[in-house]
Amino acid sequence: MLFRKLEDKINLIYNKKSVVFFAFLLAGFFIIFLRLLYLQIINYDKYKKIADNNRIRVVRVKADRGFIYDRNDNIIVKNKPSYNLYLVREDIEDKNNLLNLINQKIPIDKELIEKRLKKAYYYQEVLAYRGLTFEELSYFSENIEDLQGVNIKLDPVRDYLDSTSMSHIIGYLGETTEQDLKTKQNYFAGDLIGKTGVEYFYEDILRGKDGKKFVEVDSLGQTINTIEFQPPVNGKSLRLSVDYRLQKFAQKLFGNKRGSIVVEDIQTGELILLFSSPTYDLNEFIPYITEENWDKLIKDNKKPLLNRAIESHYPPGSIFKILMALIGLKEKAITPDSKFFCNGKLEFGNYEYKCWKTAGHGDVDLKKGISESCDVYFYNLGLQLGIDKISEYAKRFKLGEYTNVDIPNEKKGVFPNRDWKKNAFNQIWFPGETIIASIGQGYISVTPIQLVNMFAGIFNGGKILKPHIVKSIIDDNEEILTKTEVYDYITIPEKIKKSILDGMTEAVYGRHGTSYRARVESITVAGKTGTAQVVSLKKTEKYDDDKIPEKYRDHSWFAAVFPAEQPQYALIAMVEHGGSGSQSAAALAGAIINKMVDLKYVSD
Amino acid sequence: MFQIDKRQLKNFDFILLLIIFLINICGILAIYSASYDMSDGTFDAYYKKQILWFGIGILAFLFFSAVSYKRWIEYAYILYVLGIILLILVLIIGHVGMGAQRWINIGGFRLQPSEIFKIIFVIILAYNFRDLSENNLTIIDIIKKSLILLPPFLLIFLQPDLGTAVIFLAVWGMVLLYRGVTKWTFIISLFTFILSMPFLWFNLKEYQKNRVLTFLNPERDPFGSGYHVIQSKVAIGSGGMFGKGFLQGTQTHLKFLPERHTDFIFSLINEEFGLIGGSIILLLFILLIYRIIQNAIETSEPTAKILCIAVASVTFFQVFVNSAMTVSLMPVVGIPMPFVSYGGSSMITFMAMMGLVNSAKMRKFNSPSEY
Repeated sequence: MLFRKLEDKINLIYNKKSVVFFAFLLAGFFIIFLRLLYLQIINYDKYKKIADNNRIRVVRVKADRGFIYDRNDNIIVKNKPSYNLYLVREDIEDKNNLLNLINQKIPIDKELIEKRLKKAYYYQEVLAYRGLTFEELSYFSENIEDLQGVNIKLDPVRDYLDSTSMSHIIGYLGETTEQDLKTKQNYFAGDLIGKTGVEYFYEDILRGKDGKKFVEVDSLGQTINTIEFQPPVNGKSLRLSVDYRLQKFAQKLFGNKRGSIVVEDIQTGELILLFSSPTYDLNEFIPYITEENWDKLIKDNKKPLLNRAIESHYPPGSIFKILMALIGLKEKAITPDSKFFCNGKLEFGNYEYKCWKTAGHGDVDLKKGISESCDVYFYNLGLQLGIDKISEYAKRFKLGEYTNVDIPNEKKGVFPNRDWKKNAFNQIWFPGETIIASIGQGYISVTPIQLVNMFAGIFNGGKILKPHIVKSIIDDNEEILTKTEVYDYITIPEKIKKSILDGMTEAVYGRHGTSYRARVESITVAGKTGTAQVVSLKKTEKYDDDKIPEKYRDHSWFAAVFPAEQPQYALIAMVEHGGSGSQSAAALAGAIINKMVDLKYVSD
Repeated sequence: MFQIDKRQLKNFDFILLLIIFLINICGILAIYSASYDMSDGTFDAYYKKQILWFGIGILAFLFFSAVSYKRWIEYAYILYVLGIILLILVLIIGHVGMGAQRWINIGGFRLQPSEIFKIIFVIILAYNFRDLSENNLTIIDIIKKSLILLPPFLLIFLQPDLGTAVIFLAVWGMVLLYRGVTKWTFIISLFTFILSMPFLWFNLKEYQKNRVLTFLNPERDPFGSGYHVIQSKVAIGSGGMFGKGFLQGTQTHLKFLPERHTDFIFSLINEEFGLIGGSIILLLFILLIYRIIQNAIETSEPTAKILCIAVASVTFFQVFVNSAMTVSLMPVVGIPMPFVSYGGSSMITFMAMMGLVNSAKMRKFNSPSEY
């Protein structure tokens, strides 16, 4: 009986709750009903109108891509019109027939188009062909009524002031990949996107934001009326820090030679010149690159797509002696007057480490060590400093590290230390390897941009900068300068800087100097040659460079800072298989510096 | 296994079955219309398949009616564990489609474990909340009760199927409130829920965030996820009071509206049959839910009460979320409308759940002591 009563009570409570529960759900349905009422009765006219005009479509209006200027206001990259053929799936009646019809006139990739059509959004325009010629354009325009589903639209492509001398900096555009579509917002198949160079690095800035248009179309899908227009936001423009005239000049100088040359403003990190040879023609990518041309480019064993200034790394050879000198002075291992005796070799352990000059340099101080590039001097200095000190400084100067320059695909190279060797070979570091490293050989492998940035750091008073190639971003009459970023600060007293400069000046102007080919008339240049061995040739034997097959010839380096009295620019030139540094690279550097004097970058 | 006597047959809920029939007929008609390709006058096979699913659904309904619901409740935990295993399995070997892993392929048939789990979920809820004593639940009780919710919720969330996961959460919440919580518990829980929203947000996939943002402003992405919403609104709004007529929906037939036979079937109904048509569907669902709740009231056996409330909740939330999304009151999530949207898993799941309700109704004279 009691149980029965309890049960009744519980039932009473829960039956009440059930009613409340139902009322709650009813309220939910009522909300939906009110919404239907709002849409179907109150807003009926509005939606009816839209539905009657169901030929109203939303069309994307592409934003104009920003321009690219050089530091002197030359327009390096702008846009020019290109006519593209688009397809709209919903308008097509017989796809196969249509594609065949189009194919009679222009070579289209049917498979790719079918794939894109399948994936396309409703009434999305799908790119079928880029770059119609005038003749093709008129053909399709005339026959548009028989080609239901075809739209022809103007879609700008890049227009270059010079399609070769700045290719590695600018970079080319290409169609979005599947990966791009997955990872990036608001891109569609067939859209152009920066693939390399600043076009890639500054894609988001250059691209802008697409707008949209609500348009009325006729039964053929052709636009007859624009109802609403939300304008696109065009991309911002870039101003490069490089000088087009110098780029052009460098290209002429290099000719068929392979290599690179970089000039950096040592105070700001701006790259005034960054040229890599051989280069490639950006116009081959306009309106799109043919498979044939692409194959030719990537199979070319001269590797024209490679930006040798930032993507190739080599042993720096004797150029590295400059950093050694700095470390020696900074760490007080030597003074400018400390002398080492060079009899042509250094004996250490069971080995003999030879100087490039078999007869020896005799008593060598810092100035002579740098200007005549005495190897024995730096062997001794290296042994005094030890690899730990050397690699610590190298790391701070970003050798074997990313400089994070604003062009993609930068490579790191290697600057070895004990840990690196342990990881790479599972071996301890041998002192003999320190000796080799002291003259920039052995495991060391660095990029030209790392070296030029190192020189900038040494001669600007110790600021390790982030080099950059974009000087500013231009946005509606406002120009926003790229800030100079400083990674690290190493105090370098004026006295130390002076001692090194003396050695480097002597290298160019001294009687026994190795860098005389870099002399220019109106200003004083401080320089240092380097030779990166490609194969180990016995240093004792004299080879005539011209008699060695080219691919076995050493890489030729030259580093310079100028004007020597108060350095403003650092320069690195490198010629692959150019023989010793005193030859090709120094001459190239001299010509560039001369040109910079002509262009009033420096004056006496 | 089948314990049927005359008394039970007398209580067989023919009205429930009739309402289900009516809703299904509406659904099949709508799918028939959605299968129609206006441009070439042909039909896809969707409606034929849906009729087949309905037939299989009837069998499921009868099967679940015949078996005593208490049998299932006795084995609730075993079923639950099996269901969880299926949900884990789908994450490991599941078929990936549209960026989510929701199906297991079994001999050409695509099983969607999260659908099947709905049946298990209402059973485990009935078992777990069967103690209908008077004192209300405290925080500690709620935390204990949430232990059965969390595994399926998280597993489905990971698929990712946010919509279905939220349905599970909502149904659990409804049953919890039905069972009763103390005032402070309610306030604190609500507060915790609101605080957990940002956490939930940062765990959403990019496309899910986009859907929510697009919901708040459909114009934000008119080519992407906003497209559905805009087109659905146009289709519904242009239907007006009486609609454009059967097979006459221009928006749906000119392919402006995607997914018109599944998630957006309600838009098609509203376009072709207008406010009248839309209201009839809503009304039929109100009747269905009313009937289920009436059963909850009539039976005095606790598990049967909870079972009916849980089934009513699932049905309500799916109808609500689906229709709210088509009329742009909620973000677009892939929740089908029970019996109306095309799909086998959903049909069988809901028919089975209605079978459970009928099973409870047929045995309503059972007293709690018999449990």
